[in-house]
Amino acid sequence: MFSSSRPPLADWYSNPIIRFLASIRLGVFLMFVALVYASVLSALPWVRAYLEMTEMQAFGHWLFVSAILLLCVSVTLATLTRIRFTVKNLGVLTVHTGILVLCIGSVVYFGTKIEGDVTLRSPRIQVLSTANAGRPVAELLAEPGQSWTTNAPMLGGAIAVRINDLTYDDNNQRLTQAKVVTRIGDAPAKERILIADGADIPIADGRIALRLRTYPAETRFFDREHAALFYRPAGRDWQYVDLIGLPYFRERYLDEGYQLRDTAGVAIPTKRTSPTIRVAGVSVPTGWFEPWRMPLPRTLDEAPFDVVVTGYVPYTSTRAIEHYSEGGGTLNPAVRFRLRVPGGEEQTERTLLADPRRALAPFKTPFEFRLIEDDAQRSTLLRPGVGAHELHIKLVDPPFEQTLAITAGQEIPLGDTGYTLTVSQLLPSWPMMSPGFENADSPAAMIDVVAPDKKYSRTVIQRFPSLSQDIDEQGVRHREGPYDPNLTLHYRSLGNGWVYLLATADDLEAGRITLAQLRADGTVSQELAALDQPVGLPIPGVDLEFALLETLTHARRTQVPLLEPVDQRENTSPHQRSAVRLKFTGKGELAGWEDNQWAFFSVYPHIDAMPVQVETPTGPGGALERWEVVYSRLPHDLGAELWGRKLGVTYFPGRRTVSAWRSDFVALAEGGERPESAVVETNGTYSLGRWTYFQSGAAKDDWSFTTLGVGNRRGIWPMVLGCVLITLGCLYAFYVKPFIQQAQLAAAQEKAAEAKRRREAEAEVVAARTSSAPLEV
Amino acid sequence: MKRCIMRTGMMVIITGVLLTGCRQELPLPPSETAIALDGQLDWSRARLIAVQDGERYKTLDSFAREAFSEMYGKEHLPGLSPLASVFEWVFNKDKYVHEPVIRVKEAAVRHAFAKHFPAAEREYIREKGYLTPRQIMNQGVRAHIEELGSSAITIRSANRVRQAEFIAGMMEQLMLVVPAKEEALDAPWHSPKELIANLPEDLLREAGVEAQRGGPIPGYTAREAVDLTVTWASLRQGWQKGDAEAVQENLDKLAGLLPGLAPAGHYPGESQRAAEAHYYAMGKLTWGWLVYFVGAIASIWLLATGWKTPRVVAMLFLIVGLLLHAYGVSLRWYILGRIPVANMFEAVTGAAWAGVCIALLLELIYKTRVFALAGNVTGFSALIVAQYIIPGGGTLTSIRAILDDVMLRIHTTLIIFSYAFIFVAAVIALVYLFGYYRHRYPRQSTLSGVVVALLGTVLIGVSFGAFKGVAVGGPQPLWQVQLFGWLLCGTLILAIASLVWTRASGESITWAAALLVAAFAVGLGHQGFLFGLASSMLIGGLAWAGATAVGRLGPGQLQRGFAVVPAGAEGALPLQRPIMAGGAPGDEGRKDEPLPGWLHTTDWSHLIILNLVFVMLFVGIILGAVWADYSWGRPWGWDPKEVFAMNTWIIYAILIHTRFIVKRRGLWTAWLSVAGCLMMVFNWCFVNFYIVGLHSYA
Repeated sequence: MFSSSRPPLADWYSNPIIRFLASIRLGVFLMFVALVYASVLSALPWVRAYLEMTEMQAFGHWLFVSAILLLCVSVTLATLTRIRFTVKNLGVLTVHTGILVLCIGSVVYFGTKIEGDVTLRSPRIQVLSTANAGRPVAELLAEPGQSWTTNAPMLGGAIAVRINDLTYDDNNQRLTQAKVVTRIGDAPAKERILIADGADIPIADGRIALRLRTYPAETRFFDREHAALFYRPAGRDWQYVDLIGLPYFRERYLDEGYQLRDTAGVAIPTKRTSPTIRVAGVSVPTGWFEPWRMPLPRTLDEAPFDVVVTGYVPYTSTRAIEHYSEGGGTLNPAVRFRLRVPGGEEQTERTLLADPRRALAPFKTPFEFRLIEDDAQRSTLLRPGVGAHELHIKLVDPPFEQTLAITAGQEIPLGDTGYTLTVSQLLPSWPMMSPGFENADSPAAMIDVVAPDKKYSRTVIQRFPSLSQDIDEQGVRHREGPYDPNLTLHYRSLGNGWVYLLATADDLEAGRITLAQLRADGTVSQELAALDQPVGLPIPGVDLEFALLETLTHARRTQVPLLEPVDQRENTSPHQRSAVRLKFTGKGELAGWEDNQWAFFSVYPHIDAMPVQVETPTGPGGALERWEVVYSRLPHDLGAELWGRKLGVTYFPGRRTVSAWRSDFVALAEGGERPESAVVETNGTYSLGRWTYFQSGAAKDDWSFTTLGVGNRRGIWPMVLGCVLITLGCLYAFYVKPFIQQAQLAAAQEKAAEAKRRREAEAEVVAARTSSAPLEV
Repeated sequence: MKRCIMRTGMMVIITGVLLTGCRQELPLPPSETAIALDGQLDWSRARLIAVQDGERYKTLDSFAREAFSEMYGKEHLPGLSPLASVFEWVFNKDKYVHEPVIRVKEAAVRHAFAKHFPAAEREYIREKGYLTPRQIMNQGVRAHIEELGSSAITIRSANRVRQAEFIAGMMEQLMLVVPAKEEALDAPWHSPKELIANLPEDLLREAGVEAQRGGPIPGYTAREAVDLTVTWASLRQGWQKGDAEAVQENLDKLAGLLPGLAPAGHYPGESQRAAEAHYYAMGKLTWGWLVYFVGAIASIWLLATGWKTPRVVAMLFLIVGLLLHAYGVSLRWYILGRIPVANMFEAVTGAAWAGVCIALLLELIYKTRVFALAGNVTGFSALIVAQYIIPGGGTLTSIRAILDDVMLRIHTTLIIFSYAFIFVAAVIALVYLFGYYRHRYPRQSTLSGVVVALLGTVLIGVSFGAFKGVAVGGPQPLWQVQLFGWLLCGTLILAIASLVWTRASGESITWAAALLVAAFAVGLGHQGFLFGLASSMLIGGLAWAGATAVGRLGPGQLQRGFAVVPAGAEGALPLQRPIMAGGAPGDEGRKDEPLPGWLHTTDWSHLIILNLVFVMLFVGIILGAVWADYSWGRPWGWDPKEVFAMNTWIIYAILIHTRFIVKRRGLWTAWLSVAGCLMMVFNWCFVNFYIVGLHSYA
């Protein structure tokens, strides 16, 4: 085989196409092309970002793969048509074979490569506070020897919980029960048995409970690059549809009449919204090269609607702007308005709801929206004031009523009633905590009251007088009602004025409101404001222009993302902080129905999901049916069930930096009978079925969960073989072939010398013969 | 006579370099009391006290040097030893509130900070880069640090300033010399001050000291706490009074007490600590560049003349440099307990050592002269970069968790060794290019050197002029400079294309190429980089032009050394290539362009090293993939570092094939070797520090 004096397909070389393909120049050119492609797309991440390609996508691109395959063809033809199959050429033949095997292995490997991760949560004992809606106050890893202590004098002293023993099921896969010992104060320790996900075990007179929390097996992992949309009717199983083709690095959203902004208020306009590039004013379609699409339509099986992704933004902030639109399922009146200084560019838009928590815009002159039922209510709100701070006092017995201007520290005797009021504080903003009013705030006056038979302090809340509370002589706060029902107080703060946006239900339907302004001098003015008709609104310090933009009766809240400022972005995993705008369009009976919402990225659909609520009138009798939609990552089947056991962490001296992680878990392969214990650690993988697991992430608390990277390795062995062949071939070509060449050269020289000697000898013989031959005359 | 002139010239250069290196400026008046105290103390025991810091155990001496380097930019305060500096700072910190001790490295940040101060202070901060602890608290400065910290681009600058400030404020708390009593090897140690919490309450009351926050240190008895805190307090008192005897007594007592407090086997071994102190005291041996520098000069001399004397000198300095280099690398290895390849400093010094070794070996075998030069230049370049350029200055660090694997060490070692060989090859390539152009185009070659030197001079001016007053986030944003650079770039690409198309002369191409490089450098907008590049262009250009001119006009011996000796001519040098040079075709047989024999020798010398590079780089990359496969479950992730290692290998693959298709094989080989080296440098420096990827730690 290795003694041919001609290359195997030397005859083909006469064909010009073959000669071109087999030329070294083409090979060098293709290597140069690969080098330039790799350099540009690797060293200039913004180029990849511009084209919306991750590294794996860029190097799995058909263009690059084609160049590599053409190089393979060139190498093959060059080998077969130009290189003789001799022992001397064994090196180059081996190297070329290695390159072919490596390239083929790589094409298979990267063509089928899937990579993602799965998070395994460790089983744990939860310490729950029954007073705090059963929320965990502490958690500890379910492992013998783990303990938790806290000092709680109100519960009887120090509370200690220690895990003594754990029991697993017959297959050693599921944790079924835990024996814990609890001790409260000086009381004797008690052993308790916790059943996995069973009833909570109360301790400390039922004010604390213990629970053994385990997690179901993980059967799927989630793709590192590709997104998916999960959807389900509330309470049912998730279905999903892939979002392959979604952008990755840049903001790309179709025009819906608004621009997104960053947290500093700077507008972040969309980048290209279709894969085209403008060159000298001409649009060049680049969809053949770029992998992303916008809009990205998807059909949702078994759902009454389909979805189109109309926007994608990476680097979303943890904050978002609330946006309200008509279409909610319940009555929720709201008004949207715009304020601007006439002639100026700056303007602000606000939506205020009748919901007291969202009814107030805390400008210097506050704006408050009120849904009023009748004129009496309107008159009460709009009665003229008597000063910057006004207190209305009313006694039932003896009858007494007075409205007066007040200041902090002012003492107010109430005639002969025996009551004396002292204004202890005037607070511009009093945060509410009452249920239904959380995070609302209101101006408030703190009034100390001395009554004939009692002494107490009353917090008089301007916006919600009924929520005013008394604190009696014992310091007890009377939440259920006034300590002294005989006295009624109303407070108004008008120092900076107050603007009311008042509307009845009919007004909202008709698209109008009453814009009323209470001024510090006590005067009141009101005007009817209709949609998109600017109204002058002079408030202290500035003349504003008010425009009513929208009135809503069934406002529905959606969120519009706020983005991170460009210079604060770290260029890692932008999609993990992304959001997509989804346009839901009804189908079948729901044709014509439409809804738009932004959905924020959830790392896992089943762990930290942030579902978007979609309400469709498809329930019984046209009632609203609620669907949940989660924007997360594309799932892949693990072909196994995995249960997390424990995360182990070791540190460098000082315990500030981790030196290694170790994840212990249990794995049961599909169709397998018994699960096996498995370990993945730093620099140590584990393989099961077609997936290889590696350490990818870990909980900051060092125990509660571990994240395993998951990937396949199809084509790896051809790649290994190719590399070995290339190495051996190079060594042969560089360090063995020269010896063969030298030996051959020496042999040739010897042969030539021998031939020369023979010729000379023959010549001598001929000469001798000639000289001994008789001369012919 | 000629030899005498050459020797004298060499001595002048060396002396100049030495004198430049010795110049120092003192930014603050040294404390006379502390200097006097320092002079009377014997630090031999105290310097070996172990400190837990930066994820490892180090000596107090190392702690002092590293802390001051980060805070002050130098390893010690003026006039004081590092150890005296640390005690002076800990015990007399208040004295330095108005002294400029906090170093701000970046010129742009200095300019931004300086804006907040009166003219005199402003100028000092801009010029020297030092702020006082009081100045750093200035509201404007604080706001600017916050601003820097909020941007992903400038956060490193902010963190450097914050770290310097943190060390200045917390040095005593960072001095964790009190061992933990826990059995766990990673348990946090404590500062002497923390032991106050373990003192008996009556003693605390008596001393009028408030109990420390955080509670007592577990495992310490009151007796031990009293012993240590009293010693520490006495040390403080003695230092503040300038009482050398008391300080010495308490220092020695401390050094004796501390090891005994750790659980058995936990306190770092004395020999390792001694080695570390010695290593730092020897300046990490990076000054060995001086030896290589002299060797390099002698090697050039040898290359030009082929005389015996320069050969002896060059080889002697190469061997001495190599031994010093080896001593530094092995000391580091011993101290860290692992092969030193985990950070830039270790990789550069370790790899260069291997490069020098191979060059020495090949020079001893083949005596081609270029290996001696390549070895000396490799050692010189690596050690001077290690001493002056690499961030962190070679601080001893622990290995990153992910790197702590035997296969990775093999992979890393092979890769960085191949990088060193690439550098060795590039030096040989430059020698070839110099010789080739000097022989073929002497006038253009000289002019090209002058052109590069001139442009270097202009760029040095630009590096100061264009960037003056440019502050991060300041009124003159860098984008203006960058825009200028990129515009220039585009124009020059067109210019070069047209020059190449019209087969322009050598100097024109050099002009265009040099301008292109300059435009890129300006476009990058980094003053330090621009200055470094400009200086290199100036020195390199002058050397090139000067050497060509000297070669042409110089003494007869030089002329003879560089003369054309046609292959196979009577009396010519034997041109048969050694086996190690492989079987690729050479230029020896070409009749149309006869070259000097030494160029052929340089070419096959080049091939010897290139063959090694090709195999080692490939095997190194593959072993990295093997490690990545069993560590990350993925052998290849198209990470920038991987891609550029592959690109480097592709260049050498192109090189091998190019020898089969071009006429001037040696010339193409040399240019491609230089290109491979540039790709390697780009991969090692730029990709590591500026492109985010899986290898960003490397």
